[in-house]
Amino acid sequence: MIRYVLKRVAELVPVLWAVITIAFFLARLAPGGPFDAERKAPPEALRQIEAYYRLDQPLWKQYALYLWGAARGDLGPSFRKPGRSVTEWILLRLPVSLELGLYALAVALALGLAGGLAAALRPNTTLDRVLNVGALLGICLPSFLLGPLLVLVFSLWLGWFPVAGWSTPAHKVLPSLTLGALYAAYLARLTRGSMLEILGQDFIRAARARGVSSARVALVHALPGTMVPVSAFLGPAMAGLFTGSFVVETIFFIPGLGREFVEAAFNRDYTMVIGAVMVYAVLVALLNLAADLVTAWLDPRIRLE
Amino acid sequence: MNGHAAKPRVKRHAAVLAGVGAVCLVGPLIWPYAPEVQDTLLGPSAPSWQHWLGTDLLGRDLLARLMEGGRVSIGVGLAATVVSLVIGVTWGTVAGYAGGRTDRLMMRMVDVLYALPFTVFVIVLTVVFGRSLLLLFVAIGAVEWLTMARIVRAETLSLKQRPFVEAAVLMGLPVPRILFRHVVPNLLGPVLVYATLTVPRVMLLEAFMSFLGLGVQPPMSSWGTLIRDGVEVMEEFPWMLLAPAAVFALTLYCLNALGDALRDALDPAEY
Repeated sequence: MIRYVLKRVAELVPVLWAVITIAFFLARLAPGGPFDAERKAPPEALRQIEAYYRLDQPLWKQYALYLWGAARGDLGPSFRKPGRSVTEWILLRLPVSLELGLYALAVALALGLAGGLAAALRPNTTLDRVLNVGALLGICLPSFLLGPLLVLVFSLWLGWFPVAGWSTPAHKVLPSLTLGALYAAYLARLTRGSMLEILGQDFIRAARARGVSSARVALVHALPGTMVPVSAFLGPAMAGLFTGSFVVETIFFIPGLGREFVEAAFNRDYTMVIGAVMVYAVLVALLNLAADLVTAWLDPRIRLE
Repeated sequence: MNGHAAKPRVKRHAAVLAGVGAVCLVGPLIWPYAPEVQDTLLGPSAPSWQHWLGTDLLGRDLLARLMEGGRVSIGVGLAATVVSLVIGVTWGTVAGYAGGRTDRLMMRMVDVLYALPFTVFVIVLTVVFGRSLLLLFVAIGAVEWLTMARIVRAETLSLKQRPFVEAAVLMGLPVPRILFRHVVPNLLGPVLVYATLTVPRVMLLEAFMSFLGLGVQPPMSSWGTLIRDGVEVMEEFPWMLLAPAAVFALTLYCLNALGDALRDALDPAEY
């Protein structure tokens, strides 16, 4: 178990190295430096700026210095937002994205599991069909459509929630719903399918034959097995929630890492872009690992290799 | 669902999609308003008999812009899918047919790429190479081929054991000929299904990038940029958001449903 975790974490190192290397050289390959668009600075000042960002050094040295810094958690200065280092910016912005991701996960779990279980326990009824349509809507309305539509209805027309921002709890309702909806929809379909499959198995019929109450059959006998595909889905889903909030953060003006990343992409802030990509790669890998561990714990038949 | 019941579903969704596609393709030729012609005297107007879906801030006809944007969105969707198809099918057949270490190495690379967040990767590519339409669909196609490669490889592995392929090998046919004449044609079913499901994914990614301002650039418009424009003025002129939103959601829904139905119709037992 510990060996397995260590092995998976060790596998992360070459992936990270590849990410850094690709991102670093792609960024340097790009035509035009980050300071070309500015007004022409005096040559002396330009030299100082280039020295500050180590742009005056040979490329291999820049790369080596960057790798050495990254290994110690120092991702260099931001090209566009001087004053704070990229690491500081990430530490400032990431918690907001994680908070948003957690709320969205709660939304997805609550709506998805409840909806999926309700549909599976009453299959082919009106309730099932209504839930199915809801899930389809969740899948076909991408966040950049759902977000504005929710704002239109609940903020502008009904006035229940603020339009944008990230301070009071009321600010956090619509973004969490927007981000969580897609995953709630997937979870509902997954839970329904998985639950129905398990309810058709012999051990459930045996339990029913023994006179176990139907609520107990559903919750105690069937539920744990239902959770196996769900937990396998949760890893990628959480990775998506924590790293996929660009649009939601942009729509609702949330000061998270996603918006910072999009802004950096706009401004060609290379160090910030590479830093954010690394954070995302680490997050995705760790979450997938966590999901694999939970899945193996839920279903002992799955062997960790 | 069994294969029998799936056929009407295939027809239904294909018909809706063909309708949307035909309107976007033929509509601009018939519709009296051009998408870029401004009518600043009129300005933003609600849907009316002259302008069925209303006009935008500059008085441009929204239906005309929607049809024009549809050409771009659908075009990007199809083009990027073709890119992903070519890479994925080639990669998958070569890996599956070669087997052994080549196979392990090639699929290991797919695994590593899988672990990267896609949208992040596409955004990084736009940072590096600027925001051009060509790049956009090459980038999307380049990240969307992974699942295709996996599916194709698995199919190739099983096809390789089949007598007709073994016969082709015994006859001493060159490997490319075996691959493209005997293996690839037999992959068509699963490839078609997955390609149908790739189109909506690609269109979603394009709209997503355009919405963030990193995709299709003005004066060109796609459904993604129309949605973006609509969001900015949705309080005063909600139809500017609702019209592109409805068309986009309908198209995505039909494409996904078509893919599911095709899968059921072609091979009810698998997946």
